[in-house]
Formats: sequence, structure tokens, C-alpha cells
Amino acid sequence: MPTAEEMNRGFDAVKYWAEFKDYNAKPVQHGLLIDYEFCTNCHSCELACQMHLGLPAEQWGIKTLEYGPIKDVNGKWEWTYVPMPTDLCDGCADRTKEGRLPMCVHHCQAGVMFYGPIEELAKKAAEKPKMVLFTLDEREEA
Amino acid sequence: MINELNKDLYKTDWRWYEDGYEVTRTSVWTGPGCHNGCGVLAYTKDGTLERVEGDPNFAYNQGRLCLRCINMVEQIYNHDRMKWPLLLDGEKGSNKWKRVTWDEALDFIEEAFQDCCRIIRDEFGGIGPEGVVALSGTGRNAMWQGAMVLRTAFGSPNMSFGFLSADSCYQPRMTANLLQEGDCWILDNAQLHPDRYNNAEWVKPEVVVVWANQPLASNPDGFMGHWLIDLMRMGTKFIVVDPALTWLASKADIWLQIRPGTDCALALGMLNVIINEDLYDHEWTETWTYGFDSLVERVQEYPVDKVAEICWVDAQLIIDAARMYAKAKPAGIQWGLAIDMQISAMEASNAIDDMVAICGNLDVPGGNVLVRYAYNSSKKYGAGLEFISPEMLDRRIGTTQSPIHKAGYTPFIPPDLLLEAMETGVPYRPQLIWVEQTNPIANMAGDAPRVYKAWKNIKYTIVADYYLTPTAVAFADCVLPMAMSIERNSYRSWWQPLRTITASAGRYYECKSDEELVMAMGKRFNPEFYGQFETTEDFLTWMIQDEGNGVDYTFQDLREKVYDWWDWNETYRKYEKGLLREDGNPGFVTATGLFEIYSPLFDVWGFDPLPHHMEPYESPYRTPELYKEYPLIYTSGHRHIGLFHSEHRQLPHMRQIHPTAICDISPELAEELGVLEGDWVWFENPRGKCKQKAHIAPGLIPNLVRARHGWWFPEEEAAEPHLYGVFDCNANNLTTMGVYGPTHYGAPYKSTLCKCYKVTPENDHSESELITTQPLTGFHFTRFEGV
Repeated sequence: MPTAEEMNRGFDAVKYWAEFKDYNAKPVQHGLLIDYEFCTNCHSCELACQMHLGLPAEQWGIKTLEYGPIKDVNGKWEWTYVPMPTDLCDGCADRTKEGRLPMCVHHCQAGVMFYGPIEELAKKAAEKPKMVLFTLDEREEA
Repeated sequence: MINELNKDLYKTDWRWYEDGYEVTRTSVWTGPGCHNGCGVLAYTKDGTLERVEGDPNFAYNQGRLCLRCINMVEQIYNHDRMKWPLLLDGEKGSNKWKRVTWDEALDFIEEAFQDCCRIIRDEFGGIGPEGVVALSGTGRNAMWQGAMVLRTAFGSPNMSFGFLSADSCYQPRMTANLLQEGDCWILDNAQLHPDRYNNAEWVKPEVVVVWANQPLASNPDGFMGHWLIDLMRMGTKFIVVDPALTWLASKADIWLQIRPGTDCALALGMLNVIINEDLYDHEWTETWTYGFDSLVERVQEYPVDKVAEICWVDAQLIIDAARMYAKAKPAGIQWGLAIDMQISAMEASNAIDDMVAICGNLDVPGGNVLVRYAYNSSKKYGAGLEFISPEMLDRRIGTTQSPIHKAGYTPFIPPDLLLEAMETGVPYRPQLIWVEQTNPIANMAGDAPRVYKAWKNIKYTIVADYYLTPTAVAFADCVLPMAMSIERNSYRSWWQPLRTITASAGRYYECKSDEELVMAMGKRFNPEFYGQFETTEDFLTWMIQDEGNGVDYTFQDLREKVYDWWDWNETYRKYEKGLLREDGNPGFVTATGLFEIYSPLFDVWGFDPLPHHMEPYESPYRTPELYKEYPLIYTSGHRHIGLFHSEHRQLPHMRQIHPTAICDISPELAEELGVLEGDWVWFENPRGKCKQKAHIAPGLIPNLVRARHGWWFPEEEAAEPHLYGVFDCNANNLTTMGVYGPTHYGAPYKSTLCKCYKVTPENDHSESELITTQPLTGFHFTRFEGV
């Protein structure tokens, strides 16, 4: 556990992650990279995920968050969406192990979602602004 | 590589087997529907659909899907679906039905038809079959089937949209294209090539004008909206013409926030800049157009300052947009429905078409390309016209009153004049309405309460649909259960490519596909013709071969090809190559052989041969007195992302995203009315009122409201007076029938006036229950042929 001194400097969750949680921590292998500059909130990722996980209405494995539309201080409109995986997201483990893409990535109408190894996605993320990388929760069920 | 297609898992065979699944490649084009025909992989077990995925091997959607297909399983196994044919077992509107067999239903239809013919002969001095009218919905795989039943089984010429006033959906734009250059154009998003953006000839448009539509939600006219995002990511610049801040408008380089119904003025103002600043393509214009000089004169009447006043758009933005469009090589226009839904629909279409032409963007890569139905397999709304005698064609309702209809540019009868015939019995009152997958009073009928009242005077109504709808409950004597796309065999030839629709899931109870319904009706009413087809697949072969105009192979061949890309549609500059005209000469399919900027036909018909602005029917300037009482501009019908018109309301996973009729009002109006997000508001004008739930939408013109369309509530009481609450939130309680431009095209669905106030416990009520209990006598006649 972190010492009081460490806590005063700011708790580093990553550093204590393995110790803090009761599971076998392995480095995260895969992620979802989202080019949120072009997410249109078409909801395809949300519903494709619900269908795959068999979720009822209003239960989401991924959900799009919205900022705007708002005219910013410079007089420019901003209207931004970011799809966010929830606790129910299992990274479509059963699909990806067969070589399929996660349902959200496969069906994204704007084509802004990418699945792959973290290192590759990180490289891709550096190619342009307004990208966000989610590390997937690949823990096995206890 | 990231997100690369796994070719071992996603095959190009038409069908394969894996992990106990049968996997079928098919395309989905209704129903439930939309205008796209995306490629879908149907995973079935023992005939039960377990899941769907987008087909990554189809260049059209490249694996992507929207809510409509992703939600297929919930849709086809929904318990509200019609399972058997039903006959009315009580008063109309009572929602009392008895289950019958298909044979019993057909017996009923036959008796009703004979009674209909007798009444037309005895009471109206007619031939008989013209007493049948078929209504169709918008362009999906239920567009030619109703036409075939009507013309080849009943022998009637009266085909119409479901009371879509003045055919205000794509018909004005298509007709304008057909009149000016003989063929229709679409934005070239590389969708005509199987290799899409890799195609060697294709060029990325430098600029795209998204004019009067929100393609991300509407996927209009067979155009997948998100292709625009592909272009955006490749660096295309965007000009968006829209009164509302859409997501695309928020990303646009130039957003022209136009007052609804003034698109023609805007186009003429842009043409003024393009011509006077000498930004047009001289060589193209001199070689290929007719009447350019007259346009030069006409645009002088539309200086930018005047246009800015008409359109409520900043003059400098109009100038910037005109320059940006005209200087870009190539530039494309993605136009849409709002152009059709104004009395200047045809005029605006012509003016925009002129911009495309004189800037040299017609039929060039990355511009606006001329397209035809794949392999000319063109039986659509006009299917079966060859079965109608000239004598019977003359019995069409309302056609003689409109020169364009009379000249045969459209297979439809004018819906507004059909309504008048139903009300007045002149020239005769239709006796049997055949409703092929359309739900007019919930969806497209202008002045829906007026249509409801007139329809109550019609003796027989037969509805073919997936669900009981307000239309079925209110009017039908007989309802026929229809199979959904994933359950049926058919095809799509709308533009490119020719696509199979392959039955992959087993059949739901006793549903028939629309194609099987044509066969059943054909065998019963016209055995001489339909006797040649043993199976529905034989009949589909006849359809795609189109009597020598279409392909030379069978439907079974198409099923195995899955998709067949037509090289004609891939070819650019077809007018140079002599590919358009039957005589093989270069040029367009027009009388002059040229692109007709000045329309000699319009001149002959007594219309202005050049585009001109007309004030909307009700507007701050045409009707200033009315504007004092109704100070808001009322538009309707902006699309729900993922829903299609009045469909999908039964599905919990759709309703979680679109729970009810949510309208847009501006922050300014909300503050004035004391309305908070989620409050219910009334919209009201002299024709009627409806209530919707308010969303406060930044970026709207402050005194403009946007009402949603298509809302009815399958979860509420079906029987009258409630009728699924169909008139409670109905945007069309406020719209018109009988109001259109001089060409008989374009009704003001998107440009009228209203007032708005909060719903309170004191003023709240079910408008549906008032409208369905009104006296059915009398009618209010509206006729306006605008200038």
C-alpha cells in the first residue's frame, strides 16, 4: 500500500494496481483507439455491443458521451462525442480470439474505432490529434 | 495492421457453414427499411436468425451497419408482428379482427374488387378497375410490388405515394434532373466502384456542399451518409446549408443557416457570384448547355444583398460559399429532402442543377455523376404500366391537371388531387385502397387529420404490412402479414450495384414477402400472365431481365454473384462518349441534346423556363398578418439517427435511444416560454396542433422549431378513439394538402408557420381522441398553386 508520504505527492494508482486489487495482474495487451474528432454519435457501437452481450435496453457495454454543441469563447462551434467502454465491456474476448473485431469496431459507421495491441495503437494515436486510447479490461473472471 | 479484414472468416461465397451456423450474404433494403441496401451476414441456426454482422466484403458499407440492421433479431422476432391474415370483425377502427387463411383473404379481396368495379360503373360511369388506388411508401423494396399488384392484377392506373403532398420526396429533384439533362445525378463518393477510394479514375472532391439534408441520419436516396465522414477524414472541405446546427454543420468550413423554403434564392445568389465573377467553366458551358445567356440575365435579379435578406444568411458567407464551390475542382453537391419540401422545390432543384453544370462538375470524378438503375433493370414505381390500356390511362385521377404528370414524367397520380377525389367524388370516388407497406396518417400524409377524415369515406382498404398500424386499424377491412427483408428473396437495382436479397431466416408464421403477394394476387386475378411463373424466383428472374433491358441471367445466378457492379455506372463523362442517348450521339437525353438551363418544355407547359424564388406559402413576408399570430417558422421531419420514418417504434432497443417525439426549439424560445429541457410543448397553427417533448437545441434560428415526424405509440390503445395516439404528437396536424408550386411539385412540409406554448395540466389532452371523434361530414378544401 502507498505510504502517507506517497499519498501526499499524489496516489499513483497504476503503481499499486496489482497489489491493490485481488487478481492476477498482467500487463494489458489490447485496447480500443478512438479517433473522436469524427465520432458522429450514430449509436452503432452501443447497440452492436448490446446485441453481442445480450444486454437489455438501457444497459450499455459502451456508451457515447457528448460535449456541446456549444459556441466556444472564440465563436467556434464544438460538438464532440466520445464512446466510452463501461464495466460490462469484455473487449469481445470470444470474438477477438477467433480473429474477429469487437462488435463496436466492426460496425462503427464513421470508421473511427480501432482494435489492436496497445503498442500499435499507441503509435497510431500519435499520428493525429484528438485520439483517445482505452486499455481493455482483460482480467479473467475469478 | 489494424482493423484489417480477416479473409478466412469473412468469405466471398454467397453462403457458408461454420460453428453450427448457416451464414448467408444478403443485402437489406426493407423491411424494416431504409434507402440503403447494405451488405449483411445473416447467421442462422435451423432457420432462426441468431445474429447479424455487416458484410466487410461489400464495398457499399464495408462491414458498417446502423441500428436498423444491427437490431434485426429483435425486429423479426417481435411479438407485435402480424402472424396471419386478418379480416375485420367489427366496426372499422374497433381493432377487432378474425384470423383467416390466405385463401379466405384473397376471396375477400376478390369480392371487394368486384363490388368496387360495380360501383365505379354504376355510380360513376367508369370502367371499373380504376376504382382501386394503390399507395406506396418511400423507396425501399416495397416500391414496385404495390405497382405490380395494382396494374397487373387489378388493372388500375392509380398509383400514388401515401398522401405525400405534391410528391415532395426526391420526385421534384429527380424530375428536375430528368427534364434538364435526361438522367439523375448523385454525389460521387466512389460508391459506384467496387474498389471504392482505390479506384484509379476516382478523385476526392475538394469541396462537398451538403444541401438541405443531414445524411448521417437520413441516408438519403440510396446514399450512405457516413461516406461523407470518409471524405472529411480525407480532407474534403464542407459547406452545409441547413437552418439547424447539425453535427455536420458544426464541422463545416462554411455553414449557411438558411431560412427554410428559400433554397432557390440562395442558389440564384450563388450563381450570381459565380457568373458575375466569371468563376464558371466556360468551355463546358459553351459546349454542353442550352440557354446559358438567359440565366446570366436571370441571376442579375438576384444580387447577393437581396438574396441575403430573403434567406436570412450573411451576404459575405454566400459570396464565400459560391467562390469556394466554384473554385474547387472537383466539387460535389449532396442534396436532400428539404429542397423537395417547399413550393419552390422544382425551381430550387433546377438552380442547384445549373450550379453543378456550369461549374463543370457534371459526370466527372468526385463531382455529381449521372447514374441509372444497375443494368437498366428499371421496373420500379412504374412497373406494370405496359399492362394499362390508353383508355384506362386516361382514367387516372388528377393527371390532366398537371402537365408534368400528363406528359408521363412520373408514374404517380398527384396525391393532393387523389384526396380531393376522395372528398368530392369527382371525377369518381375510389372504392378500394391497396396499402403496400405505408402508414400515411402516422407518417407522410400532409394535413393528416384531413386525410383521416376523407379516407373514412372509402369503402374498402387492404393493408399489407409487418405490424398493425394506425392506418390499418383506422381503415382496413383486411390486413396481410408481410415477411421482412432477411426472410425474403428479392433484388435491388437502385443505382449500383445490382444486389441480391436472399432469404436467410426461416419464415415467420404465415407471412408472405411482397414478391409472393404479387404472385398470389397475379395468379388469382391475372392467371394468363402469371401462369408463366412457377415460382417467385422465376418471377424475379423476369423482373431483373426486364424484357431484354436488364441482365441475361437468372435470379438464382444473382443470388450466387451476390453483387454485380455495372460498368456503365462506373463510367465518367458519358455525354462525351455517346453513352446516354439511344442514337449513340454525344449529348444528353433532352430535345436539344444539351443540358437545358433554359427549359423549352417548361415554356410549352406555361411555367417559368428559368428558376425563380417564391416566398413560402405561409411566411413572414407572404403572410405578415398570420406571422403576427404564428411567429415561429415550423419545419418537420428531420430524421432520427437509426430510425426509419414511422417504423421501429415497437422495439425497446430503439426506444431507449429515441423514446418519444422530441422536437428542437431554440434556447431563446425556451427562455421566452419558460420551457426546460424535456418539457412538453404544443405547436399550433390554423390547421391543427400537436404536442412534442422539447429539446433545447443550440444553433437554431431563434424563431424556428423542428417537429419530429412518424410518431405513434404501439404500446398504447389501438382501438379508436385513441388509435395508438397517432394524432397526439403528429407533426402533420399542422401541414397542408393541396399546396404546391406551379409545377405541382413541392409542398411546404418544412416551411410553414406556428406558435408554441407549454403543455399544462389544464390544456393537456389527447388530440388523437378529438380528431377520431370529429363528425365525418364536410371537408376543407385548400388549393394553392404558388407563384
